[in-house]
Amino acid sequence: MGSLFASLDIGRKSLQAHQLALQVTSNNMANINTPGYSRQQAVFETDFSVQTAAGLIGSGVTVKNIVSARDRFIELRVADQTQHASEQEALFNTLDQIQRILPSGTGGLQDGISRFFNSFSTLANNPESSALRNAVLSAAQNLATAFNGTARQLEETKSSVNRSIEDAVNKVNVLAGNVATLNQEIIVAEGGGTEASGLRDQRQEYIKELSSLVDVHYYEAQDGAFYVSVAGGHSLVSGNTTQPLSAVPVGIQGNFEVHSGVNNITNLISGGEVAGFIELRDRKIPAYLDDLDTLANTIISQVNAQHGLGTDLLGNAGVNFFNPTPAPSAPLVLPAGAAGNFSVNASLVADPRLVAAGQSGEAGDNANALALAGLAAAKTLNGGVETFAEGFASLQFRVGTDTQGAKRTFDAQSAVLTQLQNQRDSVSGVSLDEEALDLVRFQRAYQAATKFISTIDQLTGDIIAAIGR
Amino acid sequence: MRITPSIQSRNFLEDLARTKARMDKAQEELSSGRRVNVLSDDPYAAGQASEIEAVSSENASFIANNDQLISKFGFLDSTLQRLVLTLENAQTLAAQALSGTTTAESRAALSEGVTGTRKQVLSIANTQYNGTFLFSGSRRPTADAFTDNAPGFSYDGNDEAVYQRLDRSTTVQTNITGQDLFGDAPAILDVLDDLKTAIDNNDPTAIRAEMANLNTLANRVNSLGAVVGERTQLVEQTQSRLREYNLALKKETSRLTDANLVESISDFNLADQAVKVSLSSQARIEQLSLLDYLR
Repeated sequence: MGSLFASLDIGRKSLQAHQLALQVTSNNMANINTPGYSRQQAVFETDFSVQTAAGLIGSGVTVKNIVSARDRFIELRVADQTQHASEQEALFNTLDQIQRILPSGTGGLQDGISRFFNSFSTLANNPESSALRNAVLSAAQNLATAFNGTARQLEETKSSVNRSIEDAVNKVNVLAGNVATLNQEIIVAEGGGTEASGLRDQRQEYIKELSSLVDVHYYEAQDGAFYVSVAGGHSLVSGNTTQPLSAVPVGIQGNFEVHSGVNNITNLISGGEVAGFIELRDRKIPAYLDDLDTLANTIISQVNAQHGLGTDLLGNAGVNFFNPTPAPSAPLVLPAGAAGNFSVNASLVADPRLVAAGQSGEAGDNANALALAGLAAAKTLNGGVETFAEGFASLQFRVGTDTQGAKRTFDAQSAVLTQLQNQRDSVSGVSLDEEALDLVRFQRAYQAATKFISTIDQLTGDIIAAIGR
Repeated sequence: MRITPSIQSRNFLEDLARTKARMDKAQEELSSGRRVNVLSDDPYAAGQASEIEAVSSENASFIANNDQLISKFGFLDSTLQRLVLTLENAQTLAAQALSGTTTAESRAALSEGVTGTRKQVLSIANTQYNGTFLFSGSRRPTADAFTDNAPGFSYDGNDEAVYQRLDRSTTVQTNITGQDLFGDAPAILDVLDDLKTAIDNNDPTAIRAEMANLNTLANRVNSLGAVVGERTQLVEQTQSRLREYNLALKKETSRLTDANLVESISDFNLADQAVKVSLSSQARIEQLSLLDYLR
């Protein structure tokens, strides 16, 4: 049976429930800019019912629980998409640097190649001129500098990407440790049946960060812990323990392999920055270096062969114009290829008379200078289908296409990621308008409860006064 | 779909970044005048432009060489003309020696005149261009190409032709060897030696024979002059073609890589407007809040 005192209790419960709801609202508003925060909601419930003569009546309101608004499927997709976008971002950022190593115009490698062969054409005007011979050697040294510089910059980029793999692996381990710690805290916090919303938000942020580094997959166990794996199933986090990855330097170049325990998972990583770095280090940059070395090597061999057919001003057969590429030896000094080691024979630099411009031994014979100049137009590269200029332009085209492709894919993946993040925020994000409305609703309810308590108090006072009379 | 401030700000920032990237690209095009500033702007155009750059550079080298060659041929032609005049002078001396009024004294003067002509021929034979003998073939004698051993001479050059490439497919002989001009029989210096002897000996038959030889020699020099003229014409034609070719290449490079300034300015203005409108609308959206209307 109801009583005035029981009504007072209903008022108390309403005050408490709405005070708690106001707290939830203020917490939502306070965290509006917190990355990864999922808005919370107080779930109201009618408190137990009591029997009255007229029937059952509720005994007020209570907050059943506080829940976070989250969609696990969208969170999974955000993590998955982050891997793709980050991989393409890593590819694009590095390729954008590489494309600037291979410019056209004055000072570029194309210009260096042209000037070198043109210098032989000019030498043919006056083959015994020491000034023109020095001009040939100067153009050759400039070409060597251009090849060396380009190869060195590519090697440095490769080396920098390699170091980034090690850094990323270290970050993965730190983040995996954080996830494991949070797993433990969530298990403990949720033991009482309440959701550890803040901890889950933090953990989801760490998963997102992990996704930007490697291809992670995760699922939630019944106790609330995440089990995280990388590279197609290699365990990274199991409950509160981690299986750290390791970056193992291999070979004389010190390329880092990524290991999970004893397993080499380098080529199994298919997402995140690390996948982009591996693609760059193991495939893209070596392919560019190969093309550059092929170009350098063909120029060296063709020029040396033709130079050998000529006769220098001293009447001797032409010596090697460029130094042949030395075989790689340990310890490897980078850059190791033909482009990195491209250099002019020092004996020619010391004595320009050794430039074999003629073929008959006469000082005024320019036949070999003409033949050397003619190499520029000869299709001697890549099985006799390209000139040197065309070969270098092909390399530029390849790098340009790769960069453009990476940029387009990155833009597309980013757009999808943005859409998914918006979907996630649509579910979990805080809306100030909503919170403002909640604020008013709970404020009004709180005010109503206080008015109600005041009214009951007055009624109780009236009764006490009546009894006293 | 619930729209939260984080969605609005993310969309706004990404749209703004995209518009600013368009603006930046348009500005880069306007300041550089080029549509292709890095390879990825248009890999095909960049690759093509790079190949064109190599061909254009090679052509520029050919053009510079050909300019030198035209100067050389001009000098060679004027040298040959001087030689023709010298030979005509010798013919005049021979004709005078054949007239019936010559005395021993005048014959001595004519003989001396032939000696002078011979010296002029020798001087022409040792003409240098750009520090090298014009008629020594591919040899570079340390002393003269032709040494006077009067009577007779010795030649320290060779009969080698020297060539130069006018473009990728055309080569031209750039010299006339001393052998072609002075060495082949009848040799000019020998003819002049014989003419002097004939005048000294007052031998009309011999003088007439040498006059005929001088005529042959003048024809030879004129023929060689015509060859030089043809070669000059070939160089000039090639030169003209190369200049037109390079102009066409420049146009093609421009088509491939240059910015369309009208388009770039239009893009820039559109992006500029978009940024302003975007900033303005976002500023108004940011001000809208239910909190402002609640009391």
